[in-house]
Amino acid sequence: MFVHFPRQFCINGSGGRSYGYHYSKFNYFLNVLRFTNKIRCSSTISINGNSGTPTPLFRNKWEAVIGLEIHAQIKSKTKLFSSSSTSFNKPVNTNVSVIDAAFPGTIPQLNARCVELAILTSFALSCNIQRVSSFDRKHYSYPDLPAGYQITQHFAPLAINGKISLSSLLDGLEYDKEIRIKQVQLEQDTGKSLYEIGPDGYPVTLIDLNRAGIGLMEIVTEPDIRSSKESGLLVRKLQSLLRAVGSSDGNMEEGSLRCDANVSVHEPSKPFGTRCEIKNLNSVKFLMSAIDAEIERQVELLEQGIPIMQETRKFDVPGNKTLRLRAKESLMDYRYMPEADLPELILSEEYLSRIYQSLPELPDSTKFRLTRQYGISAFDAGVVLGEEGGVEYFEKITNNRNPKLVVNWITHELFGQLKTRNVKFIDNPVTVEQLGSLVDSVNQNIISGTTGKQVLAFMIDGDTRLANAIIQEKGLQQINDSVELEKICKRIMAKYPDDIQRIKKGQLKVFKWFVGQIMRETKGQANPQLVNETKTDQNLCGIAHLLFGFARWQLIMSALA
Amino acid sequence: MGWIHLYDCLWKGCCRYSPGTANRSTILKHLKIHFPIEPDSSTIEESSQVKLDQRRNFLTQRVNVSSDADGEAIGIPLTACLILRNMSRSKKTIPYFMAYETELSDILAKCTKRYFFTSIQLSNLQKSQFLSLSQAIELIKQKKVSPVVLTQKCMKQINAFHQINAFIQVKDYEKILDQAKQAEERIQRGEPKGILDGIPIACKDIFCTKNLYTTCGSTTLKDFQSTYNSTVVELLEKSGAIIIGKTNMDEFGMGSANVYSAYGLTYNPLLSLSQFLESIEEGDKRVAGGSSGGSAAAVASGMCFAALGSDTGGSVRLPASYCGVVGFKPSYGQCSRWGLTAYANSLDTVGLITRTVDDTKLVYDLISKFDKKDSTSLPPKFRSTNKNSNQYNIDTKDLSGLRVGVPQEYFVSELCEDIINLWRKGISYLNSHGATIVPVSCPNTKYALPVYYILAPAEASSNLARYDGVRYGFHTNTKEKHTDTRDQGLGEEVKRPQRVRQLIRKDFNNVFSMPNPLLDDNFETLISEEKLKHGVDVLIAPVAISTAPKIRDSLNLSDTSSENLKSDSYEILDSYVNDVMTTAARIPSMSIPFGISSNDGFPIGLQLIAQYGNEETLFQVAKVIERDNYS
Repeated sequence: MFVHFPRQFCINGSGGRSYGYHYSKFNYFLNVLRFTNKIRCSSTISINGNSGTPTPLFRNKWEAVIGLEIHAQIKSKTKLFSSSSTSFNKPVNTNVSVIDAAFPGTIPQLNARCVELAILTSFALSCNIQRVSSFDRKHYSYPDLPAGYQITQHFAPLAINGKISLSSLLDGLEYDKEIRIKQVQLEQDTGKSLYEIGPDGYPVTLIDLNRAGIGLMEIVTEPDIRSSKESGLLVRKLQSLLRAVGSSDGNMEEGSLRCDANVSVHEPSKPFGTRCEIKNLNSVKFLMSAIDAEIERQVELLEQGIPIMQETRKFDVPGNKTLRLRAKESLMDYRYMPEADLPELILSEEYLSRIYQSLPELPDSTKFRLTRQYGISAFDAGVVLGEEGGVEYFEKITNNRNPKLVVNWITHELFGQLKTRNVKFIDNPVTVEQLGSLVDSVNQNIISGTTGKQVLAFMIDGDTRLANAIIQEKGLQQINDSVELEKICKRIMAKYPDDIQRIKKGQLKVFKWFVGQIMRETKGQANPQLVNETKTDQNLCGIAHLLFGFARWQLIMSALA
Repeated sequence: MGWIHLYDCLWKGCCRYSPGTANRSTILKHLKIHFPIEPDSSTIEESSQVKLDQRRNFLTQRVNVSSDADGEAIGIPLTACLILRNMSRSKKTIPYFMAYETELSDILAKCTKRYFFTSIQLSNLQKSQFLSLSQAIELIKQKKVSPVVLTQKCMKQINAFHQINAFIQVKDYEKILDQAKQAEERIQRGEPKGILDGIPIACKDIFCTKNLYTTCGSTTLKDFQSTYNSTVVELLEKSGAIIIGKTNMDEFGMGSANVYSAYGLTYNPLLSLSQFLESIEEGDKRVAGGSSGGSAAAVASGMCFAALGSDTGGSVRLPASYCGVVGFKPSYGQCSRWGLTAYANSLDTVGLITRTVDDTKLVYDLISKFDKKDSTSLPPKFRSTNKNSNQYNIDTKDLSGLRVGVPQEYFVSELCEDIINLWRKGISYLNSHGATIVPVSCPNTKYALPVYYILAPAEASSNLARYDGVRYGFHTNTKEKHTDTRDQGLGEEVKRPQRVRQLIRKDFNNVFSMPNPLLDDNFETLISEEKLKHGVDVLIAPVAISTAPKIRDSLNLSDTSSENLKSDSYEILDSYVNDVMTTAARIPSMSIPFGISSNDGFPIGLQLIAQYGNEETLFQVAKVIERDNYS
């Protein structure tokens, strides 16, 4: 064996044989899932379920074969091979060291934290983590690649043979599926090229090396994916895994997660077709649209009897189609060669098991636990999981409160209002106590749900008090006094006599408008139950119903039905 | 056993005495038989008076040279200069000659046939006049010499012999002097910065320096100023050394003769020291060797006390052998490569060129430190391993117990006769000092050159990818600026030689008594009885296949016919032949000046090779081999 002597990367002991690590913490759980497996057919694609995993067919004949190549930026404080900061949105070329700029005489130094995070990710993907891996140079010439090569792990990647499970129960797929992960490897990110018009009016390319050298995990799937939906779900699942272990932000819009897709189509009984690679897909939506467009294009060509050419393509968003970037003839020869400046990365068993111990609860089991423990839907659990820190937030609030109410407030109101304000959940100003007090206030009929939304808006806009204090100060308490409400109802009825006649003739829409008028008059503080109760027992009917008579209510109900 | 001086007749083709058998007077008498018979005294001009210095019993006055019909010098002067040649090999006699250097040069100038040969001897003589680093340190310590004086002397040499082109850039004289004065003040106060305080040291231009340009001998990096110092430079400066300048080199270290530098070639200083350089035809001048040619030339001509070089396939040892100085390539990983511009980064090592073995050891001890900035730097726990090597009594030159291996495969067909003779001499020399000579076999040696010539260009093409004209200095501003010319298929091709390297390393591991400390963590348990009994401690081999080649042979001058060109470039390619093995195996080796060629009078080095990390033994044996009659 060729011995790379400096063993400072050799963490905790002697080097040695390649040795595999297989952990599947959730085997039991997956078995449960399999048991409850339900397969439903979608209307657009048929499921070819003769053997093993169901396969969606396009135009009842063609099967798509898709593999993804995902680059996830590692969430470490410093870069993969230098000690410059990885912080985002810094002034151009400020997070740059001589190593990042590939100055003569510089030598990369591997960042142990990056290795740790990549190993955590590999565990989360049930990979076989290699006791010995090594680094290689991938050569290509581009201005934002200062050294003229990228350091990656081509010949001996960090981890191989993993998987991501997509299930009908937890991930919203119509069937259960396991997508194999070919390998996880560490590599460097490149700098950014900025194309601008120079002072002399000619276009110039400006280089920002802030990103150059940030650690990336390249996660490559086997060609096990069969539809755009599977691809989208896979990326979402991967994002939640990355966030759960804290190894990456997994944010496609900000570029901390980037995706290339290899797509081919064939008839199931025949060999795989020629593949085309679609580069630089920067959102899950575009990924799915691009795959659909590419499948459509390839099927169309094949049905016309035109063979597919191997090429690299890009997705044209406005045209919703893929466009050719370069053909196979111009495929790059990367001249991979071992990086002699970095010794082999040797991982000891103790080191790996220590990292394994620190592995947090993974999304599948969190989701499963949330649905079991709190009785919320898998969908809601998924939404909560989709935001970093969402589960913790939810669990803290739901302590002694109705989980379903809490999850609704979080997923619908809080997430919704944050999104309209363009605030990320991670910057959410509403504390656990605040939202808890709000849920309580609504639950105890102190305010209506509508008012609750207002209170939430105050909180998001910077009011740091609990709900009660806000309600008190702004006088937002719900009107629960039926005498008071009746007065308001009568006042409005007097105001719109014509409309009242139309309601009495059975026009349901006008009734709803009327209820709306009451809420408006009271600025949403009227207890909607008191106004609009729908119990059949006359004593419990809402005031509005009483005013129009119970018989009229019956009419309305039948119209509704 | 008492120490006997070895005297040989080095006259070309003379086989009167087998090496080391004759004593001095016998040889001196014998030498005369090679000279032309003295003509009648009547033909000698009257004015040629020979006066004897009473004190030194030697020539005191300028003599007129008698010459024969061909203009060749004859008579006493000729005898004198030829005796001089032999005596030049003894340090003790040097002072007697130096007083008459000019006169002797004149004599030699008339002696056209032996012109080169004898002038080299003068250069060798002058070279041995320079203080060694250890001597300088000792004198400074005793406050007998001031760093300012040493620095001025070096600067004087640099100015006097600027024509050999050893430096690409020399630091401003004022700055150097200022540093020297500061050092002197510190020494006067009794608080020197370190052991090298005030010592002028040169640095190959491949090492990044903050205060001097770093060009790597290339136009691409013209005016490139690094923002940081190499670790080795930093260590030297920390111990007080004055980095006086950046020495010439083959572009990015790719060359073995230092003729491929964007800043002109470096001439072998051994002709220029005796002021003959101008009178020699360009093609007949000798190269300094490469790629650290500037460093070797600077040390050989007294421009500095030591110089940093870098060794990829013999780049330190080869010029050291050509220039008659000590060249040392440590084990890979011993000295930090941080700041050493990469040529072939799996082969590159920091190297040292000095005038004596002691000097090398002194500087090496300063710069062989673990550096976390170099991921291939040897961690401290592996560094302690060389401490338990054998200790030999250097003072008595007793090497009893030492086992010296002679690798059979190193007898390559390209070796000159001179070199083989010297090698034999080295072997018998070690033997006469108690060492056991063991013929060994390294069967995978034949792969070393192919491995080198695949790995080095492949890695170079990768390492040089960054100098694409976009980021650094010089570019042509044409559309082809960014044309990718590096599209030879590599990839797997580069992995294979790395595996072959293991075979070469295995060869060495089989041969050495000490196990390779990198092979196993608890390697001490591997020291088996059998290994200790049959293994060797050092290997002895030639450095180069010849003495310093002529520029005409190294550089394909335009008047060279294509046929010549072919064979010549082949020779240069093969000058690495005996050096690349140790590079491929990452083990330490050293070139020690051991003799001169009877053919052209140029120096020849002998190579010692030791097991990985066993620099200690290497130094000890080198110290013994460093003959006191040749330095």
